[in-house]
Amino acid sequence: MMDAAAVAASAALPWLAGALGVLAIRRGDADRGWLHAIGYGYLLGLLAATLVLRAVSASGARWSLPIVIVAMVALIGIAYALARPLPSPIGAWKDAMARTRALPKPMNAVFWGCVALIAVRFAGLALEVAWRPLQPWDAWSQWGTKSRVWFEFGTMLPFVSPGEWLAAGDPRAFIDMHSAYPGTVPLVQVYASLWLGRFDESLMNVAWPVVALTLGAAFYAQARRAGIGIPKAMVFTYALLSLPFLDIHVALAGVADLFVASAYGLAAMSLWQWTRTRQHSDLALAVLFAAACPALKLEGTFWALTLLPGLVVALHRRVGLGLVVLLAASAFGYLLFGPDHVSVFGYALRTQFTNVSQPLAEHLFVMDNWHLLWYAAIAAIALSYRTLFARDVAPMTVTMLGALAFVAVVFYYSSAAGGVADESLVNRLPLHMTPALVFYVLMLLQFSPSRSASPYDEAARSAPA
Amino acid sequence: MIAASAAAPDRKQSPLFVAALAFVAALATTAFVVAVRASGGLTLSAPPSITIPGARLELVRGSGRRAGDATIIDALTSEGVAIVSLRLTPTSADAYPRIAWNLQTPDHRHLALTLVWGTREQPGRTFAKPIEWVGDGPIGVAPTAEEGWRGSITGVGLAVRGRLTAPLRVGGVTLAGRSITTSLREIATEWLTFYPFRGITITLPFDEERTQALPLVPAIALAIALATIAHALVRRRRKLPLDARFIWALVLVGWLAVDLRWQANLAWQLGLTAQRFAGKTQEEKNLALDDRDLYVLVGDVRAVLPPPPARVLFLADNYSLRTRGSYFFYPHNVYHDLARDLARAPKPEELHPGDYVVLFLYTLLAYDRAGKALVWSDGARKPVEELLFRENGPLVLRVQ
Repeated sequence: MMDAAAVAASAALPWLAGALGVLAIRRGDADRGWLHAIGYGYLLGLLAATLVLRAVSASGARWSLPIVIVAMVALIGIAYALARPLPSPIGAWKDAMARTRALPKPMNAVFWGCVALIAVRFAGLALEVAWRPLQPWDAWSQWGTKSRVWFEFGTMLPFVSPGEWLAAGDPRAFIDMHSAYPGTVPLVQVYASLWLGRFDESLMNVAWPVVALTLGAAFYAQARRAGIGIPKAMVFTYALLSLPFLDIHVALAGVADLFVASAYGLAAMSLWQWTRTRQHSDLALAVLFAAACPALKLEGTFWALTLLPGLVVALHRRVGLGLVVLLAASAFGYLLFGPDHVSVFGYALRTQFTNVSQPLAEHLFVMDNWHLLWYAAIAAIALSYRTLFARDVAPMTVTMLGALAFVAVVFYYSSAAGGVADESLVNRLPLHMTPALVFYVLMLLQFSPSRSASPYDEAARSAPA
Repeated sequence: MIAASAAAPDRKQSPLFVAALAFVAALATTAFVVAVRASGGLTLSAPPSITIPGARLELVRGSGRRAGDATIIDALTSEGVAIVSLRLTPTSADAYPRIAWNLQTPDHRHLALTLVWGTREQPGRTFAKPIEWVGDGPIGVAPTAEEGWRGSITGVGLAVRGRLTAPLRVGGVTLAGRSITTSLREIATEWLTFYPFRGITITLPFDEERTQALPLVPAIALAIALATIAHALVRRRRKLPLDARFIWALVLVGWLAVDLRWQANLAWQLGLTAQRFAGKTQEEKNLALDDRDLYVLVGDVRAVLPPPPARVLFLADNYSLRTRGSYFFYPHNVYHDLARDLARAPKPEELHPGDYVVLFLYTLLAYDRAGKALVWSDGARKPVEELLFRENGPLVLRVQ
């Protein structure tokens, strides 16, 4: 019982701080809504909690739960002060229920059916996380190692290279499989452990199901803001949360990929909303979550960079598309004339092509890792080929092209090709872009020229999320 | 042009109902076509399958024993091979296109399997086909006529190569008769395969699907495509535009079909997880792990160490063992060789006074017990104090 309360409190405080923070950022927006704040708020608040831990560690003090609680309550207070006056959550709830009730019966059934499927899925995943100790190799060889040490000693002790470890003889400098990896995800585990009062390999991963669930809430809210009808927005939210590879990264919690997927997806959706609304708050959220990507995993830097071309296209379509062509030409030139080997963030970039198409195709189209997502993506792109670079869609298309180019370079032209060929990496990188991709597919179908408007979509256009 | 309409027709006319029917019909057609192809024609009844218990197999290479109905292979030959075989009354290759071996071993990572067989038509020749080993349970292989599976089969065998780290139990072999019904049953069985959470799940959750005759996801994608084409043809004949609601419903039904299987898989897995870990403390969970023996062993070593953070060098030849074992040492300050191939032993000058060295199944350093020293292959020595010594177990030393 105490554990359940600790886990709930550990999730609630950053969630509230983050949600209020999002409402503060969106102060003055006409379509400011609670669901959007709830969806974006948890990860934002959790990242703030890790910054609190970093600050305490940098001050030389030892972490303790009272310090964390005081800091989080202070953040909640500041965010509340900045966000006032708040929209009424009860009013928002009543309004959402009224809109759902107004749907025709079959659409209502589709909506609630999807909600039920998501609820069942996440109840099971939460129990799986609560019971299962760290299982994935990376979880206990490079993430859980840091959280174990840092929690034990109440501060961020350094992790160094094996050479430094052997040479220095320092009892307080540690190593693990990837000492240089960012500390944010281990700090998330430390934060939960502080609430639990012990290092618990299962319960310390409470953030994983909550991050996935709030990603779903953010996705639904953004779809509604984009004018998607209630049933369609919920069907796509269910589609995203039902993806087996995403579910597995929740169930077998402890690795950072779900966090990168979530941060990148939230950033991309906000950026794309900004191209439509030009609200500063959307751009601010896009920048915040893009900046979080490198703090979660080294390749997060590249993911954040893939958002830039879309931004430029949104500012000036011709310049942006010209930039994309220039980047593509540069990449092609590098392949023709570049050095054989360049080292970037631990990956060796090569000009030599490694064909990993077969394992890639098997994982995307044959095995059930992604259900029907990649088939649907191809179908949506084919249906929308005439509008891919239209004004509203071009920033999204260019962002996704950047993401696909990044995946293609890593897979076909880097040292990671080995990881694709032996299939240890083949799904992880696609996972990072999956929430953004699902949103892109939804938007393509929304803007498809072969689609005539549905009354449910039109009714939703001005609805706050 | 795709039309969308909000009109509410009666239930039998509803797009969801029609789409569900169309989807089921298209999926059944897809499976039927694949089954016909796999069975080599419209063969409705199959000859009875031939199942041979492992105890009737002959171990012609390697060493082993009989245990109940099975043959156990305990060791390979010095060339690293073992072969079990079986003579058959000449049997039509066409009628029995698939062979399934029932094999069990705790560790198959270093083993390669090959199906071998002979035919009456080419008596002096032995044919062979590698078998991909994925997951547990019967391991199937379907050699083609081009590979030599034709005419009358006079014997089959299984060649095992590599490194046998644990006994391999050969429970038996089945030659499955071929017909549309057996092929359909096989497809259905594959679609209902349970994928438990294993060590590889975080990267390869559905590894077995790549060897299936008709994996579920492409089957459903194909069924959706077929149903859409059929819908388009019907609408075109009636000079009507495509009904967007039908296509949406079709995709939704297909997605639900594949996701309900996944949900069932998750529910099943949750039951297993609960059985194994629910209500247990961290310590009890560690003792319920597959590598509990390693956890216990590290626990014994930790008992002779001072409170954390002691500097511990955990040295073992096996990459997985030293990486996983190291995790159990935290929050001690543990070092292990990160290279997959054991690169080198730490040099004498890299061992500092007060460091703890744990040697476990390690070949790059020796311990001179009488001289109380660690010994390198070049003769270099480092004085140590012995804290724990077990024959064939861990050796714990403190550097002086």
